Amino acid sequence: MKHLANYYRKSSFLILAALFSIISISAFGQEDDKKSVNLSVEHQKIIGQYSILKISAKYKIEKAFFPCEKLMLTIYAITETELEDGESETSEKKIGQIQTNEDGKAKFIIPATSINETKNEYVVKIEDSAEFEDEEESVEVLPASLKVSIEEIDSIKHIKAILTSPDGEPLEEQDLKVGLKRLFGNLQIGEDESYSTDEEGVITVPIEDGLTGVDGKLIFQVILEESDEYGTIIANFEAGFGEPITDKSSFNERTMWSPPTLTPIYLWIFPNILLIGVWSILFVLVINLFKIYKSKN
Amino acid sequence: MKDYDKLILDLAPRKFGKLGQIWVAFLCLIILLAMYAYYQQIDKGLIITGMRDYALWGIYISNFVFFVAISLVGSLVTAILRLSGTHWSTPLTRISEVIAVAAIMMAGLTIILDMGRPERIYNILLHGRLQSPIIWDVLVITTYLVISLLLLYYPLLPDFAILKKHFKEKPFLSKIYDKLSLNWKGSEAQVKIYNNAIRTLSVMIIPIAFTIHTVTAWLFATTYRPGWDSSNFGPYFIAGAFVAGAGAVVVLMYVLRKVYHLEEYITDFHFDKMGKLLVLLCLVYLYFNVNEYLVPAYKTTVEEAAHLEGMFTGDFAPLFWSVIIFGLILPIIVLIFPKGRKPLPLFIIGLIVVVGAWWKRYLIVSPTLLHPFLPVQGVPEEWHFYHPTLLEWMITFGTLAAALLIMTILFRYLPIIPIHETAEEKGFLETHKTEEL
Repeated sequence: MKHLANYYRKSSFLILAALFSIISISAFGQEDDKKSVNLSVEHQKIIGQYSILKISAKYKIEKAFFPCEKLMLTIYAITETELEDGESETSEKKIGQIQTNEDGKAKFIIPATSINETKNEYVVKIEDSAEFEDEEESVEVLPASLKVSIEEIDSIKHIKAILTSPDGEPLEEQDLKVGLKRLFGNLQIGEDESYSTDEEGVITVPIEDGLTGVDGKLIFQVILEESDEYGTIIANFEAGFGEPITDKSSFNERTMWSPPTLTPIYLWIFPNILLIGVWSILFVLVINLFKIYKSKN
Repeated sequence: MKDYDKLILDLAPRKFGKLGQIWVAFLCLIILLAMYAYYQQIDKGLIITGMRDYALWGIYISNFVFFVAISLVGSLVTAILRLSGTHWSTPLTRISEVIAVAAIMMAGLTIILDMGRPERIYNILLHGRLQSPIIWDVLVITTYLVISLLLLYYPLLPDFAILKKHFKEKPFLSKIYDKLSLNWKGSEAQVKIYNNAIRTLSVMIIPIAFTIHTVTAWLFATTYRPGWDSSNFGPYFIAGAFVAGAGAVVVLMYVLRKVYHLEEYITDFHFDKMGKLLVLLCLVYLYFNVNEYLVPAYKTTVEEAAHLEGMFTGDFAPLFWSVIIFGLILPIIVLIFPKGRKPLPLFIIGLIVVVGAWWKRYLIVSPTLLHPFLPVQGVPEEWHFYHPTLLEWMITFGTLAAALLIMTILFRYLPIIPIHETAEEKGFLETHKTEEL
């Protein structure tokens, strides 16, 4: 009996050990399968509209990067509250979730209630993904204001931009790009790619004549791009002094590339004259065969 | 009258011999194989061909251009030579007209074979745009076919009347010839209508023939591509067409003379004349070729250079130089000498000219398509080349066999040499004089 009990004890131990090993291997195996993600976050503020977080998530296999498609990301706003003893305490508040597209990218519109006037910090987290490891990336930006106007100096129109802090202090030596919005990007305004703000936080860039826009409407765009302190700030300014684009579409005209209903008139007249002329003769020649057939003499 | 009877006996259609039957069976076999290949094409689509995004036209279109080219010989021999006062070509008129009819019929069919969805052809009529050279081609091919049929049929009327009597002992055949002769009796009224018709058709066919091949040339020239972007293309195509057509006439002259023992009617004199004509046509075509290749070679734009390099020294060089040397220069050299214009050498040269003419069309179509101004994006490497598939070749050979079968059948039941006209020329007939063709 003692021998049998010993046998059961040994067997139970072996089964449990095997089960433990299998569970451990599978658990570690699952952990090993999860991919490490390279997460990047950019804060972008469009003056007068909204602020967004531009997120990009990708993973690396061997030496190539691949986008993390349909990856759910959670966004937290970090708030700092001052305690009575003068110290401060930070806390995270979940402000939303967003899923990446097939390029591994997502644009999260920050709720207005989560935007402070002093400092803004956000954390983007990958949490409990079956495919990817947990990861987080934070971005911290100071608010700034970018005002754009048009001024005429010596009969030449200039675009003027002022970059200031929320309390109105000019922000100098910040590089601003000036462009005119076009269908697939911005047309550079001025000779330089970017202009540095002076001690008053101002740039002034001359606008060349002859810029065209639909109904003369021009949308200028001044951009503070990926600043370490302020993130990306974009200010649009709409002006109406462009040369109106007139619609030169020949869609409803009679052209060589029109549909059959809009064939050029001359192409109707001449080929049809030729066709009618030739086929009339051919018709007469066929009739003449009947005349030969009916001829009595 | 004895001579007249002999003439009819010599020129009246004859039954196929053993060789003729084998020939017809051989052509039918090729056509059947082509029909099987075409069934595959209908079933699986144009994927069975070697055509892809680059070579979107292949040997079908080369074949189409070849057929259109060959068909022009009808206008050359029956109209141009006749209107220029040449009488020696009388025995060759029917041969050239039969070639024209068979070739133009197969040209139309070849275009349909090149279509991925041939059952949608009615859309050409419903939605065709008069701005498109493709529509011009459809219109002009139809017109040319009708003119060619009329030009074949009208001069046959007196011959059908003769054959009706000749085949009295074969009532069925005689009855058919009787119907086809439209009660031709050679009366003054009939001859008057007949002569007017022949004159009208002879004048009409020249501009229509020029139009048909000019429009075919425009199918290419109106497309902005290296090798096609030429204002010279219309005349260049017409010159080439006359060479191909004359070569085809020479070949058929020799074969028909041999098979039907027509040595008395198609003489060495005719071969000599056709040889001289072929030299002239080859020289004109060579001149156009020099223009077509030398001017772009002199300018050497990047795209033209790639195209010409492929022809002169690249993948197409063996074919290109073979076509130029054997299809153009060799005929000129050989046919300059009287001995070269004897029936057998001329037949061999004619055969080389026709084969060269087919490959010349291939060289016009394919290399250009493989060298576009802008590369086609995202296509596999093998699509940069064009290798016709076996099924594609079978269909193409089928159309060539069908053209030969049409000619064979027409030559079986029609007099190869116009009987009535020959009799009039030889002074055997004292009736109202009909218009000579």
